[in-house]
Amino acid sequence: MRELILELTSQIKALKSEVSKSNARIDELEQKLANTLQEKSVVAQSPVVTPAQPVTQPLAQALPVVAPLPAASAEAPKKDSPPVVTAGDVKATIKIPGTDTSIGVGGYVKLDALYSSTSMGNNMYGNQRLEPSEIPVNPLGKGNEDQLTLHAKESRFWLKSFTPSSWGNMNTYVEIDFFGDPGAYTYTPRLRHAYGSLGNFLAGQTWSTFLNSQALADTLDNNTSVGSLLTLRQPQVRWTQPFTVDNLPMEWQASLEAPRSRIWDTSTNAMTTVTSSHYPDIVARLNFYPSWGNLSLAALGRQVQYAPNSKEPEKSVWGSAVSAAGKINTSGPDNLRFMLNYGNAMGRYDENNFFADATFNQQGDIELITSYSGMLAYQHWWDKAWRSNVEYGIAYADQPGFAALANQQTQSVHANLLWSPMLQTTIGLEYIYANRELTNHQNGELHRLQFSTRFNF
Amino acid sequence: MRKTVTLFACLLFFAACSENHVHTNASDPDHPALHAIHDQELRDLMDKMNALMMERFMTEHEMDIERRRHASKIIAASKNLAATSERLLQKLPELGLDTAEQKAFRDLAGRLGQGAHTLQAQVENQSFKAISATLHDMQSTCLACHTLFRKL
Repeated sequence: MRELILELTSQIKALKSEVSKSNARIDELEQKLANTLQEKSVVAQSPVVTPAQPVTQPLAQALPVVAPLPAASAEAPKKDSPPVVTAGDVKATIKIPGTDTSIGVGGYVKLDALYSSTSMGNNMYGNQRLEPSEIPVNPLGKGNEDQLTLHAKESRFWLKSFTPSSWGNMNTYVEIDFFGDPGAYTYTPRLRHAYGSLGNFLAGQTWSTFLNSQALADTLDNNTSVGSLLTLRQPQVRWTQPFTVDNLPMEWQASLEAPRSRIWDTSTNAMTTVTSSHYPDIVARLNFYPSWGNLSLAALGRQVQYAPNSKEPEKSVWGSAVSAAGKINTSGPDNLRFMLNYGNAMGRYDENNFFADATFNQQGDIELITSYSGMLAYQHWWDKAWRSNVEYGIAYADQPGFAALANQQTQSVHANLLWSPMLQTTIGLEYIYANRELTNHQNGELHRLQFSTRFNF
Repeated sequence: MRKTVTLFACLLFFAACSENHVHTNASDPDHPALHAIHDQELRDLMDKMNALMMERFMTEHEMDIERRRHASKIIAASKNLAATSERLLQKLPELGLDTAEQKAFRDLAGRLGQGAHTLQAQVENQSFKAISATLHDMQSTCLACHTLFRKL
């Protein structure tokens, strides 16, 4: 009997809560109805057309914009005039009047405040985001003490359009941020994405097809984790073909992408980037979309070539790489993300300026560098507003013994706590650890605390 | 090595904290009713749509593609929920209810089906802002029905 009473009490409480929410919803709807009737009444009574007023309500409500009329024909507007501006066919867009094209703008403003255990030096990207190649190695020189950096360079602006057509949907997308210059107080715009697509065909600059961007860890740091493929955007042409196997949605993608070779020059112990290439990088990828997440398998084939000087003939060699990546839903909104990468032509796809694609051996022949990398991350949602991510990554290259001072290995750990009180806002704190080791066993490490705010628009 | 062990301990901690988010208002905790499953599926899909806003590295265009993918699943789940609501009505003769109770059961099952149709229309028209209110109304219907008829 006592249990029955307790159960009934609990149910009554739940019912009262639902009644309260329903009453609030009814009040909201009644207020909206009253406002709408009042606006219609004002428009019906006014005989003179006023100059166009700025639209302050969400565009999705498709309010009519009243344009000024000549005085001789000033009449009250017809009640059923079609709206001039209407919501677009995709989220956050409006239709361009007189066309089938929906256009939208957006972006976000982000502040990063980073406290680092060691400075990367003056005006270095590594003070503004994780750049393993810039972590100083022992022995540290004077001036490499801790550093505080604040910047808003990751702030972003994008523009997109959508136009349906008999050839398939046409999309365009352009996005910029302000990481164009490493100067601490210099905000040079940088083109991130600029591409168009028609149906299954895409052309322009965007994420390399080799990279599964959905598998990247949710870090505050702009450059995400070591062990993920580099967040590489490059010009390409790509075809995407969806299909299903046993009701499992899949798609294959094939692309030709802008080539570059990165060579470790043993005479200068530095990397040289070669852009005079003859063949595009060739990428193929298979995507799986089960109900519990997404998986991808990608393969890369490319030619690495270099002429040490104008007197010597050009040397070239073909190499390849593979990548398996994915995002797996675990429980509710929680998910696991991973990347596993391996290849002998993956250098510039791995970490930014960390591994070369090849070097020259003592016989003067070009020798590809084999590298391995991997990343594992877990995202946990404490509730609808709070989430945390923990991530570990590692990248390693089989450097030849004569490649002195070349990077051998790097690791990183990220752990963060993020708060999104509304969908358009994220505020968070992140701890980052990273290390870097050279072929001669010199090493260095970085501890960083990063506080960030992000406001989407 | 110590850092690696610490990291994996954190991963295990998060995994242990992850709870099964299935609604507890299912009529039988071991065998949730079909309409409760569809309702939970809809909520999970809406959570995934909302989570797209938090994605760090997807372009807005890629998010639109994912939204369309989730939207088609929401439409399919809404259709299933509407069909399940019809089946609830078909079970009415087996329940041994009096006239007034039958009317209440019929009204509530009808409201659930109507909510599912409304949800489908809202997703097809991309009226995403209205969806949470529809889901709230459907949850109220579920709760009212379970409160009145749960012991059957």
